[in-house]
Amino acid sequence: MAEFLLEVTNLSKAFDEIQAVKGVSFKIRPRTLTILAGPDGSGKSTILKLILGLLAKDTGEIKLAGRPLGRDYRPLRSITAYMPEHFSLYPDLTVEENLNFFADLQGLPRKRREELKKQLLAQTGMLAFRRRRAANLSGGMKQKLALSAALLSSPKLLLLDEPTTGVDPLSRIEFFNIIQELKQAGTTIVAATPYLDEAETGDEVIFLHQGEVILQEPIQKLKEEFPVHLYRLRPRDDVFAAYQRLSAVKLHGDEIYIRGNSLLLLRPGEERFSPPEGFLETTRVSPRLEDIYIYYERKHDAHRRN
Amino acid sequence: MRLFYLFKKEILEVFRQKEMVAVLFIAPLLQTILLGYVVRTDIQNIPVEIVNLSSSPDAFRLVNRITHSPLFQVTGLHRRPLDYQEIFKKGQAKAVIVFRDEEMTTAPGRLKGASGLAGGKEGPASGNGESGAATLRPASLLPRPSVQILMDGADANSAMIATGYFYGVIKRYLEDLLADQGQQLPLQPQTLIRFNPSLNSIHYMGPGIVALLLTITTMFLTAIALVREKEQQTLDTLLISRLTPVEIFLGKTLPMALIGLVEMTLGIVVVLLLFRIHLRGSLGLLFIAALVFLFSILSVGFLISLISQTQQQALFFSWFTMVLFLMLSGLLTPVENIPSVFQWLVEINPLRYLVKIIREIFLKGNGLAYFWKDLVVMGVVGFVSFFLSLLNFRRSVVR
Repeated sequence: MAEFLLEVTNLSKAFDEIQAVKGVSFKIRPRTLTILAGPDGSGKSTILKLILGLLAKDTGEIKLAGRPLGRDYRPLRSITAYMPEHFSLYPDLTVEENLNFFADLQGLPRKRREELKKQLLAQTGMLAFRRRRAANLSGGMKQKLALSAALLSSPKLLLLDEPTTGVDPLSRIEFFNIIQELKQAGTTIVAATPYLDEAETGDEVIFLHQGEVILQEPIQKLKEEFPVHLYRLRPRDDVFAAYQRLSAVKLHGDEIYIRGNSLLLLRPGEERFSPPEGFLETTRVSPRLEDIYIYYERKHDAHRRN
Repeated sequence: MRLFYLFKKEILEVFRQKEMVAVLFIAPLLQTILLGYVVRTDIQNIPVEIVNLSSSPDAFRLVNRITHSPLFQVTGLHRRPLDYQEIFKKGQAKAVIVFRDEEMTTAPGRLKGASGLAGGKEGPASGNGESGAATLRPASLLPRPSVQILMDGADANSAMIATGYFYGVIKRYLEDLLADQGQQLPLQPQTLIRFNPSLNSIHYMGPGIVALLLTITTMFLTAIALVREKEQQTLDTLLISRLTPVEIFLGKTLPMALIGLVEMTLGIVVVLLLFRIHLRGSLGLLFIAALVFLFSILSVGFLISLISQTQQQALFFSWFTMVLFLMLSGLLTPVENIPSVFQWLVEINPLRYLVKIIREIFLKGNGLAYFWKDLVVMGVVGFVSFFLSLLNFRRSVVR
């Protein structure tokens, strides 16, 4: 078995004048959940489509289990299921008809199709809605249906493009529980998301910023080896006024940001930190992926400016 | 089998929308009936004002014939001159017929000019839909009437046809007069009209309208079929499934072909039962011609779907193409009238061939020997569009 199921090297794509993906390289280990994380416009969806050959790449190479794909994407597509960013099933068909159609396209025998369909509908809590038209489902149900349709082929590789956009918080949790189950069952999953709280559930994360990979690391390692300390400051007064005050100090300009009713401050670990005045509480906290992303994104920008 | 599943899904999607079913099957049926009755090239009930200033019995008899002809609708009979320009401007009548007594010395057959006052003092011709005046009979001792036909030429085609009708009425009257005197015209043409002896335009238009309906529904539906998948983002899912471009083409177009054939059958039933047009040729050949046409028109529709990024674009392109096909099909105007510069467009228009074949099968009972070349050209247009679609498929869906 190859060490990496998927290897992407120097992948680039431009749309007219806009360079959407700039020399992206990363590797995906089998049986892992890898998160492609980044804000809107960072190139997540484009990368997934380039991997599948749904967009024509300008440069780059894609290897599947160590073998270059070249222009023939069939070997990759035959083991991959893809769930696009927006609901991509047929709104006029019922839940069951949608699943039947995709199962039939995969050439599943009728008996296997019925078993799998029942299992997936039960797993996603959709059994009661199987005769409902897809157009009449809620956002969360639509995504679960799309996931079920993708899983009908029992894929080895599952590519999810912002699977929880527009989905309520409870459904998001349920959705990622299902993803975890799939990973446990041996599926390799690559999920693109702008929500870094979701990314916490992954094994590895690839941070994207303006079409470039700024970091790829196992999430646990990233947290353990985070090179700076993170402090949460709770201001006495308005958090925005406190932010204005602190950001005016040149030292803190690039290191401070707001989360909820607190300010988060990134400081070099070796320096002694004296909490500024006017704050109720100053606590050192463990970094979340969101904090880590902000740190590396700012570092990347500063590096580019210099 | 995958093709069958895509076919089944397309049919399910179409029939799931009740409005679509009405649009697909009820609207075309109503259209066939309406268009069959409305779109007619023959002209009847031409509104006519008659000014009879003549005391001749011939003039009275002619007025009587015009009044009782189903071709004309006499809207006024006057014994005084009229301002015909005003009548034409108001749209009261398309023609003004003026009878008056000629000078006894007038030479036979001499044309007179017309003044702005119908039946007024004679003067030079002044355009604007005027025609000349002609004497009716050789000089004699009786008052000799002349008839002046003044036409509204704004609708040139109708004016020409109506003028022909008037001349026909006058000619028939003269023949009857001569026959009463035991004489006849020195040259009497014998006209034999085959295939549509009553010259009823519905016999000509009815089958053609079936061809038009087949075009409208199938091309529009196919043009939006693939682009809807693009908009719904379901095309990506189809592309990474095992479906090949040819399977996607067939899966998208075959359901539309089936719908088109059902619609055509309904149209033929209307033509046969309601319009009472007798089918002289083979129904089987009609369907074979329809199948070749469908391959051609669906390929064009699929090509439109590939080059369009939104359903709005696809509808616009389809509408533009369909109007072009219709205008160059010979359904409404003879293709021979189209300038030679544009004749190549006629040659590559599949609707032109279907209209021709359907009319030939319905009215002439022609067999394959008469139109196999038309089938070949339709097939070639279809193959060219089909291969262009396949060539553009990857470029269109994988940017």
